[in-house]
Amino acid sequence: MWKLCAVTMAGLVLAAFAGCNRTDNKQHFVMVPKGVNPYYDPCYEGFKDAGAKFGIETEFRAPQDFSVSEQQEVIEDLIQKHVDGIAISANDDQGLVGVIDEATKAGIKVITFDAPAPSSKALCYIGTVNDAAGYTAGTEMAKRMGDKGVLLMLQGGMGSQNLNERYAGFERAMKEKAPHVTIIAREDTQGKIPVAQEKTEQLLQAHPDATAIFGLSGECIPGAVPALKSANKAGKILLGGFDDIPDTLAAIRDGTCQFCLAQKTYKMGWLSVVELQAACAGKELPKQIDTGVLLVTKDNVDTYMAHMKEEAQQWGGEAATMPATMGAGTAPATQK
Amino acid sequence: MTSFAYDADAGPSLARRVLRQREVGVFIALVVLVGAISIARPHFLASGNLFIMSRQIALTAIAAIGVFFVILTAGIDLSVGSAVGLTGYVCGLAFAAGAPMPVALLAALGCGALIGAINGFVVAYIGVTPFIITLGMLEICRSTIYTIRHGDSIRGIPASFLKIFGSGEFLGISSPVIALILLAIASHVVLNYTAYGRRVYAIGGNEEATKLSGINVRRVKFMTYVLCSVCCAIAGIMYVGYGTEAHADTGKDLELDAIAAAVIGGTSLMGGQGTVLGVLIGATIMGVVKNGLVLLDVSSYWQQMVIGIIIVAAAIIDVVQNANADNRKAIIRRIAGIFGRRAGAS
Repeated sequence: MWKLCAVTMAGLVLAAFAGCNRTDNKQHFVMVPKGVNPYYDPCYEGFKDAGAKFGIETEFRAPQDFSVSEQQEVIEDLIQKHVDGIAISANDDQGLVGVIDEATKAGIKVITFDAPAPSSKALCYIGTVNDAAGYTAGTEMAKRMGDKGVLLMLQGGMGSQNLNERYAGFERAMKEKAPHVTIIAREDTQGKIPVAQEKTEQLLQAHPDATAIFGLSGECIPGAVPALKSANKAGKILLGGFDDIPDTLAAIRDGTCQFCLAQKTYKMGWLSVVELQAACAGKELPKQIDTGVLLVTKDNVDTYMAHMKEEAQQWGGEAATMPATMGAGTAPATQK
Repeated sequence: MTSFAYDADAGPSLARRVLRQREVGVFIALVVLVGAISIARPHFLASGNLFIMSRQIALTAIAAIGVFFVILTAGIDLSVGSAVGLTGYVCGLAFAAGAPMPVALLAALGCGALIGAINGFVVAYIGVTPFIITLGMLEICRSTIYTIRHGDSIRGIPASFLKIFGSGEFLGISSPVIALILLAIASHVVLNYTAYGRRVYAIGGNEEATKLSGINVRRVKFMTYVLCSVCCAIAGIMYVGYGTEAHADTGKDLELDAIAAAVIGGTSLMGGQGTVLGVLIGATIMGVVKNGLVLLDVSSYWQQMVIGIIIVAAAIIDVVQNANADNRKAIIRRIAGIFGRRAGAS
């Protein structure tokens, strides 16, 4: 009985909060990332900035862990709140099919950003096409390695579809452009910086002849940096990888890391608002918008973000400048 | 068979008593493992590798000793990993706020004591199942870390701190290993030579009987949770030194490694049985396997499975080893029965 009371009370409190958010008849878009990570900060910044520019209420709701079930709960909650649009970075493709279906039925426009859910009814994917990004990364690594040496790889989660696609593109570029480089290991960092550090230390012991390390996901470089430093190999081993999180940028500034590939996170957030708005206006969205990647080195580490923002802010507002207007909209918009 | 310190004085000869210790089995397993890996990869025993491996083992083992206290009372603490993360983060935040080193260390230890006190109070004085309250605490601590800085790391840890807890070493031994050795000796003494330690074992052996003999069971239990989280704080501080920054995801899933280390080392989850030495051996086996798998170039897809198999095997061996002759026969009969029935049905 007490439990029931407590649960009901908690529900009421949450409902009250939810009610507060609906101030007027402004459209309400919500960004749901995979979990809590500084990587998503610029995504939300772009989302918020675009919202402010186009008069849309925006909100950021992050599941605490990178888990499908928590993400499902967040989305179910948003369906109850009758928001107008949701942009999701999908933790899993199949796992989100049901809940995205439910949201669509409730008249909510759903798109994915950063990580797609191709099996679901999400209208559009805005983000990095990972195979292409991996190919770009491989090309850069091949150029810097000069077709010789031993390369160690780190990856956060061996079952992650977008990272496996990234790896495929990377490997293809290496085979084409630096066929004499040996890739000898691909260790799982489980998405955690301390594990990435542990694995790098072990790899450096196992392969003292290594000349380069590449990290396929964001935690790899921050973990590899202290491992290289304590082995006195900072700057002597080529280090590159994905994602421009603050730790990685600091490593680029101090020279331990030579380059990283920044996904255009701000642009993903900005375009998410533009596309959701177009969908609400009844326009048909393209299935996929590749935002591309940006090479960050010591030369542009302090200026690249400003460029990324400028580029993103060109989009939206006028229908003609929207990347969404690929075809004339046919379905009527379900405005509330 | 048993690990009560006070009945070690009883009967049989020293050699026999040594062989009857539960740690002997796992220790032999460890020796075989080390032998096999070093034959396949001689580099395994190189000083560089031993240095990094021992440091990684120590970081897990410090937390494992903490949760070991709780497990001895038949409790469990799932908040270990999050407590390691939060206490380390608090240490980093204190540095970021310009606090001198002693203040930062005390802040981390105090934060650990507070987490343990909440866990211990709710378990011992309110009576909530340890599994539930510590599961809740796991979420609370981790979400606190994420709320503070959106999961970003805290950089700019002072060099004076890193010199001691990071790159610091003594006779080629890293600081986490030194901390572990001191902690292990202290824990061994507390558990075996103080009244408090005997009460911890007694509660795990039979809580009702302990209560009836006039011991304040609640207070003893409460203290095990505090000790556990303070150990976590020590690990948290060591992790900041190790990573040279305070990371938001430090310690994630560490509770599972810590509990596994204790179980592999012969600690019974039913309480009352286990030794500090066993926990150390358990943590070392896990560390050796993790390191060995990378040295042997075993694919990442397989590594987790090997560790899982070792945990399951250790648990089964423990049950069989602890069973007396009759029970052992009963186990065999049960297994035979299941397969017999299957064969009959088909």
